Amino acid sequence: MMQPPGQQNSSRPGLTGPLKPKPVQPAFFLRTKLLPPRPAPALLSRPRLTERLVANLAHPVTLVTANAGSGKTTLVADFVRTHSKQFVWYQLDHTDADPSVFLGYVTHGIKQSVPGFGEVMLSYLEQSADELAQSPERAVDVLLNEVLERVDQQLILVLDDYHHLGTDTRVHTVVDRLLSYLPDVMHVIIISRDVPPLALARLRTQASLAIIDRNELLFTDEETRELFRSVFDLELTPEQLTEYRARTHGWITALQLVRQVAQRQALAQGAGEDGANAPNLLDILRQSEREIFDYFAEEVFADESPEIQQLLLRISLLDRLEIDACSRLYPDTRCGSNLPALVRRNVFITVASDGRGEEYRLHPLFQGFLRRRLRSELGRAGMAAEHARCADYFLEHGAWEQAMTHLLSAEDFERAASVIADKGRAWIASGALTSLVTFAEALPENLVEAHPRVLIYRAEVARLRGEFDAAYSLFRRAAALLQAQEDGEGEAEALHSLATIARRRGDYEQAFSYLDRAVELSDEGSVVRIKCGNTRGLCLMATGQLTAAELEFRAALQSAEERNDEHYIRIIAHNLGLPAMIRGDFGEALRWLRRMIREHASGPPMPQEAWALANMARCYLFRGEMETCEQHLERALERCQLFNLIQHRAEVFQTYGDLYRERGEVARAKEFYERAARAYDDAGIDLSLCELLEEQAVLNLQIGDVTGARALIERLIAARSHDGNEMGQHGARLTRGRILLAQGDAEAARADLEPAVAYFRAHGLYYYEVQGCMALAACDLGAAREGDMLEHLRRALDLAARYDYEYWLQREVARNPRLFAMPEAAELLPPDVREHLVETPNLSTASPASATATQAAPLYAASQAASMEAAPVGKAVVDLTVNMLGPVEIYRDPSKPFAADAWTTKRARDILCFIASRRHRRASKDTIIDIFWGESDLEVVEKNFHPTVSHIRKALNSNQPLKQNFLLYRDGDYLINPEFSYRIDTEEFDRLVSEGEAARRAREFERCINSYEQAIAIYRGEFMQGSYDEWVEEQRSYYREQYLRMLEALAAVAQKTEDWSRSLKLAQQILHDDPFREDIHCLIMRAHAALGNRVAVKDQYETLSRVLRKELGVEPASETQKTYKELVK
Amino acid sequence: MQLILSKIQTPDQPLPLSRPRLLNIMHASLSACTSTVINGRAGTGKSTLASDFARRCGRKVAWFKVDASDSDLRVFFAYLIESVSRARPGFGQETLLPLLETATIEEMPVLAEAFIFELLESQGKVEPLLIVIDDLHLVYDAEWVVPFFRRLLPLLPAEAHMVITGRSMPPAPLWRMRSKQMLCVIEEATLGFTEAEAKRLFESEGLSEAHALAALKHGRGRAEVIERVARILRESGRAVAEGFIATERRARKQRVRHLHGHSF
Repeated sequence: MMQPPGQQNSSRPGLTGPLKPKPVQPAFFLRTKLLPPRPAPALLSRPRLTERLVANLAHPVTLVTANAGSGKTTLVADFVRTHSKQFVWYQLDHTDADPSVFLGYVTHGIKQSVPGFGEVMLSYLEQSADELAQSPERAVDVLLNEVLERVDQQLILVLDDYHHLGTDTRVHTVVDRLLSYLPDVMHVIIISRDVPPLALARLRTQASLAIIDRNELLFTDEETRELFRSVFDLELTPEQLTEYRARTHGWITALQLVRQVAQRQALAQGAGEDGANAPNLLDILRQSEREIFDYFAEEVFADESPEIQQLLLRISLLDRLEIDACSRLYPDTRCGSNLPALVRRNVFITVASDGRGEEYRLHPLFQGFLRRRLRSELGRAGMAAEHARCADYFLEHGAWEQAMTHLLSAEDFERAASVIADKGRAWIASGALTSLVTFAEALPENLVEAHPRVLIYRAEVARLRGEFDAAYSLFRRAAALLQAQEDGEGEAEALHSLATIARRRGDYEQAFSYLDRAVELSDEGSVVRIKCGNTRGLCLMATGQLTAAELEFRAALQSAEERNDEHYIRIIAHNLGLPAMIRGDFGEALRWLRRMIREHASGPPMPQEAWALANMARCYLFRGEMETCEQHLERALERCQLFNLIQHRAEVFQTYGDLYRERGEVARAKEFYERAARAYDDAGIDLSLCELLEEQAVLNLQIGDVTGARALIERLIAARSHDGNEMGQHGARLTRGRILLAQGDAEAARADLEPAVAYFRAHGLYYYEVQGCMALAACDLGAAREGDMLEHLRRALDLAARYDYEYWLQREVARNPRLFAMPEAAELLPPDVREHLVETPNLSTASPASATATQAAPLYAASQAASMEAAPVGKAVVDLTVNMLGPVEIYRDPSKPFAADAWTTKRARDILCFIASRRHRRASKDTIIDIFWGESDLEVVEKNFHPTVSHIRKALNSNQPLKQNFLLYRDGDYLINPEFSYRIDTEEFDRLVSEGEAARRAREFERCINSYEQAIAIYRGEFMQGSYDEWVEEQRSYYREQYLRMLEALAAVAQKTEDWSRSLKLAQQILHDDPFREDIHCLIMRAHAALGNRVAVKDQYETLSRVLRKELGVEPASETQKTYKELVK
Repeated sequence: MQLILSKIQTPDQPLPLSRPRLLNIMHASLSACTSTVINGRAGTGKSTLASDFARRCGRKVAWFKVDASDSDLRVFFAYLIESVSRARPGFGQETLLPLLETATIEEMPVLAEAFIFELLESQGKVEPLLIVIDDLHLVYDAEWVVPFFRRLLPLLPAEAHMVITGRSMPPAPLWRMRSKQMLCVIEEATLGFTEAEAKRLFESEGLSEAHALAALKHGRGRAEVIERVARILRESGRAVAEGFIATERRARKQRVRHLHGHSF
C-alpha cells in the first residue's frame, strides 16, 4: 500500500527555517585573503626542493612545516608560480577557524580559476547552516562532488599559515575529510609553523604525504654559496662560507643578516673607515634565533628614515595591509609610495596581488619585533588609543570583524558588546560562528548582562552546533535579561528559539508555552511572529493536530506574503502541503508543495528543494501520474546527490521502488528497495521508523509472496509497538489486514482493519481510510454481509470522489471486480469507472489460483499471483555493466543508455575498459599514460590527462539520475570504485573458464561442459571489436585462444558422444574464427559422414583445399587427405 | 483568530467562456429554490460555474472557499460570518459570534435559525444576496454539518440564495431535501460538456470542430480537460495540442493496461 508520509514525519519534520536570506558572498569575505604572493625581487631557485614538490603532486598533500623565517612561503610561492597553471592561494588567519568560512574561501578560490564553480557549494553554505555546524564533513563531500564535476585541469590548493587556525577547530575535521577523498585533479599544500593536528598518520602509511620540514628548508653548503654569489652578489672566501653556514645551520633569515652586516662593512670600508666598530658577526650568530632576528631587525629598522620607521611601527598593528586602509589610517605616511618601495628593497615585507587588488604582508618575525617596539614607545594607554583609532576606522567601513580585534585590544568592551549585539545576526549568517563566540567570550561578564542580545547569538551558535543543552540555558538567561530590559522583541526571539529546542526534544507542551509568550510580546506581522507560526504549525503536526497546524501555517503564510518575504513564503507554503499530504488530499498538497520550487528562476539549486520534490513525487504517484512522478524523483535525487542528503536519498529510493512496483516492474522495485535499505543504513536510521518494510510487504503481496509479506509486516508491527506512534501502528495493521485477507483469514483481517479504519476516520486520514474501507468490503463479501459491504463501498467511493482518488479507484476496480458484481455495488461507481468493470473479464472464470484459495482470498492475493512478470526477480543489484567481449557495451541501466556523445573521446572509453579489464580493476596513472599517451610530450599529457579522466566520470553519469563516482584515484592508481557492484564480462568469462578447468581436473565433466558453455555464450565476439591498440590485441588473442580451446573441447565431447549436429555447429563456430584449422575441417567431414551426407563431406574438403590454396598456397596435409579418402570411400 | 482573506474573496481570475445552458439552470434555481448544490468530481467545472454565476447574477456575493482546516465549527462560522458581513456590514458580529462561543451539536438548529434571523434583520437586507460555499465536501465529515444545514436550507429567504459546491454527494439527510423543491442539484452529468458547448468553446478560440470533438471524447466531457486542451491549442498552435491529446490517450491506455496487468 502506498501511504502518505505519516510516521516518517517524526524524522522528516518539515522545514523549520534556520535558513536566512544571505548574500552569496560571506559578509566578511575579504578577497585579499585569496591573493597569491608575488615573487620576492631576488630569489634563489632551489631545484632540490621544487623537484620534491613536483614529484609529490601525484599524491594528495604536501606539508611544509618549519618555524618562522625559514622560507616556507617563498619556496611554495615560487613553486606554484613556475610549475602550476592553476592554483588557489589561501592566506589563513584566526578568523578562518569556522568550517563555513574556510569552505567559503576555498570555494571562492577555486571559482577564480574555474568559472562557474561553486554554484552548488555556495548555495549549500547559505542554506544548511545547522548541518554545516554539526557535521561539517558532509559539506566537504558536497565540495568534492563539485570538484569532480567541474574541475578537469590540475589545481593546487595552498593553505598558507595553517597554524593560525589553532588546535581547537572543526576545520581540521574538514581538511582531514578533504585529504582523504581528494580527487586526483587536486593537490593540497599546507604551510604551517608546526605539524597540524590532522590525521596525517594514515596518509603517511599510505605514502600519500610528503613533508618538507625545517631541516630540508635549511640551505645546504652549495645553496649557501649560490645564494651569496648570485642573489646577494657577495664573494666570500670558502672558509667564510663554511663558517657562516655552520653557524647559521643554513637558516635563511640568519644568512640574510650575514649579508646585511657584510654590506654595511663594505659600505664602511668604501667610506674609508676600517669597519672596526662593526659588530662581530660570529658573536651575534652564537645567540638564539629570536635574538639574532631582533638584532638584525634593529639594524634594518635603524637604516630607515624616521618617516618610514613611523609607518612600519603603525602598520604593525594591522593584521592585513591594504594601501587604501593604511593611507586613510595614517594619512601622513605616504603609504602609497612607501610600501611598494619597501617591497622592492625587500625590507621584510611582501606583496600579494592578482592585478585586481593587492595586499602587503609583513614578515611575521618582523611584525612581532615592530609591535614590541611600538608598545615600548607608546605605553599601554597609547597602544589602546591606537587600537581604538583602528577600530573606529573599521567600524566606519563596516568591517566589524576586523574592528572587534582592535576593540578588544583597546579593551573597549562596551563598544565590542554593542557591535556583537548589533551585528550578531549577520555574523551568524556569514557562518563565522567560532569568531563570534571567541569575541563574545572575551567580554567581561557584566557587559554581557548589559547586552543580553550577545547571549542570544552565543545561544544561537550553540543551537546550530547541536549543543542544545548549552543553547537552552543561554537562551533562558537571555530571555530573562531581555525581559528585565523590557526588550519585548528580543525576548520573543529568545522564546521562539527555546520553543524550537523544545520541539526538537519532543516536549511540545513546553514549546507551546514559549510560543504563546513570544506571540504576546511580538508585533502582528513581525518576522518573529511568522517564525512562531511556522514552529507552532510543526509542533501541531507532530502531535497529530493537522487542522490546527494548517490554520497556523495559513496565517503565517499570509503574514509572510504581506511582508513579501519570499524566503518564508516558500518554506511555509511547503509546510502547508504536509498536513494535506498526510490527510490524503494530494491535489491540495501539490498546490502548496510546488511553491517551494522555482520552476523558471535561474538561481542556484537549493537543498530544501529536495524535500519538496520528493514529497511532490509521492503525491503524483498516489494520483497515478507516473511520468511526472519519475521526473520529480529524478530532480529530487539530483539535489540529494548535490547536497549529500543521505537520509533523503533513502526516501527517494524508496519512492522509486514504489513507482516501479505500481508499474509492475518487480525486479526494479526490489532493486530500489534494496538501495533504500542500504541508504537508510548509511544514514543510521532504524527501519522501524520508516515505511520501507511496509512498502516491501506490499510488493510481496502484489507478487503473491504472502508469507514474505506477512513476515515483513510482523517485524514492523513488533518494532512499532514500543514507540507510541499510533498512526504508524494503525498503518501497519492496515497492511497486515490486507495480507491476512490474502491468506484467507478474513476474520483476523477484520480484527486488524476495523480499529484501524475507526482511527483513520477519527483523525481524518482519508487515504488510509479509503484503503481500509475497501479491504473491509472484501471481508464482508467473503462473509456474505452484503449490507455492510455496500456501506463500506459507499464510504470508499465517497472518499475517492472527495479527494480525487481516481487512479486508485480504477486500480481497485480492476483488481477486485467481484466486489462490484452486485448491481447495487456497481451502481455506486461513477459511470466512466463502471465502464472499466464491463471491460474487465468476469472473475468467476478468472485465474486458476482463485479456485484453490479459500473464499475470501482471491480478492486480494490470488488475482495478483498471475501478475508476476517474467523479469528475473531477486537478481543482485548491478551498478555498472562493462561488456568487452565483442563490441564494447557499457551501461548502468539498460533502459537508460548513456548519451550518444557521452564519452567525448574514444580514448576515455578505452581507458575505462583498460582499467576494468586489469587485475583488481586497477591501473597506475603511469601505466595509463604510457599506454594511451606513450608517444606524446609531457605537455600534451598534462593538458589531456585530467580532462579525459573527467570525461570517463561524466560519461558514466550521463543520462542517469543518480550521479556516482565510479573511478577512484588512490595512491597513484586509478581503480573502479569497489563500493559498487559490477558485471564485467571478461571477469565472468575468466571465472567460468577456471571453474570449468577445476571441474575438468576433478573429472566432473558435466559441470565442466556447463561452465564452458556459459563462457562461450558470454563471448559475443573478439575482445573490444573495432579497437586496434597494442594492449587490446594482447587481450584479444588471449580471450580468443580460450574461447577456441573451449569450443574444441566441447566439439570433441560432442564427437565422442556422437552428437553430430552439435559437433558440426561447434566446429563451424571454430572455423568462423580460425578457418585454417585442418583438424576441425576433418571433424566436420566426419560429422557429415556420420550423418550420411557424403556431398557435404566433399563440399567441405573442397572448401578447405580452396582456402588453403588461395590464402597459403598449399594443399591439405596428407593426414587430412587420408581422412577425406577414407570418408568418401 | 487571524482570517485568511483570500478565502472569502470572490475569485477574480479570468474565466473560460460562459456556458449559458448551466447559467440558465442556475438562474432558474435562483428564482425557484432557496439553494443550489453543484456536485461533481475534481475538474468538472463546479467552482468555475459558481464564480461565473456569481459575477452575472446581479446580487451581492458572499464567497467562502472551504478548506479541510475549517471543519471546526468556530472556524467555519468565523469565515462564513465574515464573508456575509462583507456584503452586509455588521452581519452577525453581535448576535452570532457570542452564540458560537458556547454552541453545542444540539444547538445547531438554533444556530441555523439565528443565522436566518440575522439575514432577515441585518442592514441592507433588502439587497439580494448570493452566498457561495465552495468545496463544502472537505468538511462533510464534521458532525455539525448535517444538523446545521438541514435546518438552514429550508429556512433560507428568497433574497439570500445559497450555492454549495462539493465533490461528493452531501450527507444523506441533506440529499433528501432535493425532492422538496427547495434544493436544486446540478450533478456531474449535467456539468459535462455537450457537443454544442465544446464546439462553441473551440470556435470562440478560432479552433476547428474536429478538435472540439476530439477534445470532448478525450476529456469525456470533463470541463477542466476540454478547457485545457482548448487553451493549449490556442497558446501553442495545433501541432502541440494534437500531440498532447495523443500522448494523454496513450498514457491512459497504458495506465489501463497496467491495471489489467495486475489482475490477469
